[in-house]
Amino acid sequence: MPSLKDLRNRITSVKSTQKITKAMKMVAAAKLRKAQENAEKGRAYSEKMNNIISNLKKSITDISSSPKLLAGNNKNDVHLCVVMTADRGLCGGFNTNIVKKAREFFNQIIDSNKKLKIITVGSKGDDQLKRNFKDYILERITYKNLKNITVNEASELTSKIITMFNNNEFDVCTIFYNKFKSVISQEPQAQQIIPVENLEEGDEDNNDVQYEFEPDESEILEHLLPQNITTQIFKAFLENAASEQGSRMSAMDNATRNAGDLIDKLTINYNRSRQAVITKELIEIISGAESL
Amino acid sequence: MQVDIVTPEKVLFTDNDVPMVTVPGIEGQMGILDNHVPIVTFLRPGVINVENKNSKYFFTTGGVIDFKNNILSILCQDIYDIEELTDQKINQLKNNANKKIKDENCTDHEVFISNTLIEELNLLKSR
Repeated sequence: MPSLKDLRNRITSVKSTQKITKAMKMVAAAKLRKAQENAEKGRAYSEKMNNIISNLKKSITDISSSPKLLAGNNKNDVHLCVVMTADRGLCGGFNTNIVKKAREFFNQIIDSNKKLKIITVGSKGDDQLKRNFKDYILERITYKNLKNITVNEASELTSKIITMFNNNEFDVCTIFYNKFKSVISQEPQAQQIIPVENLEEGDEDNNDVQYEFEPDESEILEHLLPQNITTQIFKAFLENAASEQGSRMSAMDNATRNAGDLIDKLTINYNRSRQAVITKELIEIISGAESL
Repeated sequence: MQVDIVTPEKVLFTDNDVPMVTVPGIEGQMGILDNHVPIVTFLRPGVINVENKNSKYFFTTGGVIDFKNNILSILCQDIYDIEELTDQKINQLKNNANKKIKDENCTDHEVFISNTLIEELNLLKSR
C-alpha cells in the first residue's frame, strides 16, 4: 500500500506528463494544418504530371523503344527501396507502420533470392531497420536540420536514384511512405517508381483526343520522366509530413486522455487512503479515551 | 479558356476566362487561343504572358504545358511573377546558369537552356 506522499507525488508527475502531451498535441495540430494545406496544394501538380505522362504513354506504340525509366530494363533482379520515415518519435504507429510494410516487402525479395538495396530517409526508420537489414542499407538521409522539405531535396534524391539506375545498380525502385487519408488514418504505401507502374487513370472520357507533341513523344518523355520521379518523391514527402503530424496529434490526444483517466484513478485511491488514515486516528482516540 | 499555372508547391495562378496566352515554346514563341488543338510541349526560359483583363507576366526557367479541352495547364518548377522579380533574384538565377554552363557534365541541351536563360534575364533587366 503506497503511502499518501507516494500517491501525491505520482499524481503530480502524471499531471505534468499530461501537460506535456497536451502541448505537443497543440503544436502538432498547428503544424498539421500547414502540412495538410501544403499536401493539398501539391496534389494539383502531381495530378497534372500524371495526366501528361499517361497521355504520352498511350500515344507510344512501341514500348520497347521508349526510355528505360518508363519501361524498365527487362530485369527484375536488384531492388532499390527508399523507405521514408520521420526524424522524430512520439507519433503513434507512424514510423512502425511504414517499417512493417517495408519489412514484409524486404523478406519477400530476400526469399526469392533477389538482391536488395535500401536507402532510408529519416532517422527513425533507419533505427528500426538496421537491426535486421543493416548490410543492405546503402545510404542514410535525414533532414533533421531542415525546417521544411522543399523540391530541392526531392530533386537531389531523384538525381541520386537516376544516376544509380543509369549505372545499372538496380532494376526496380520502390518508395515507402504514409499516405495521408485523415487525421486518424494514414495508410502505409509501397509505390513503384522505376519502371513506371500503370498510373491511376485521370480522365477516361478523353481517350480519343489526338495530341500534338513538340518535340516528339520520346524526347518529351526522356525529359519528363526524371521530373515525374521528382514529383512523386516530393508528393511522398508532403504526404508523409502531413501524416506524421496527424499521427502525432491523435497519439498525443490519446496520451492526454489516458493521463486524465490515470489521474482520476489515483485521486480516488488517494482520497480513500486519506479517509482510512483519518478513521484509524479517530478509532485510536476513541479507544484511548474509553480505557481511561 | 481556363489557365492554371502550377508549381510543385502550389497553384500560382488560375483564371477561367482568358482569351490568349503567349508562351516561350521550345521550338518558338507560341500564342494559344481558345480551341487550340490539344498539345504538349516544353518551355524554354522566357516570359509567359497571360492576356486577361489586366495582362499578367510571368518569368519561367522552363517547364511543360498541356492544353486540352480549353484547359491550359502550365507546369513549372521555377516561375515568378515579373512584378515580384527583384534584381537580386535575377542575378542569382544568372549566376546559377553561368555555373551550370561551366560544369563539364553538362549536356548540349542544358547549355542551350542556360544560355537562353541568361539572354532572357538580360532582356528582362534592360526593360
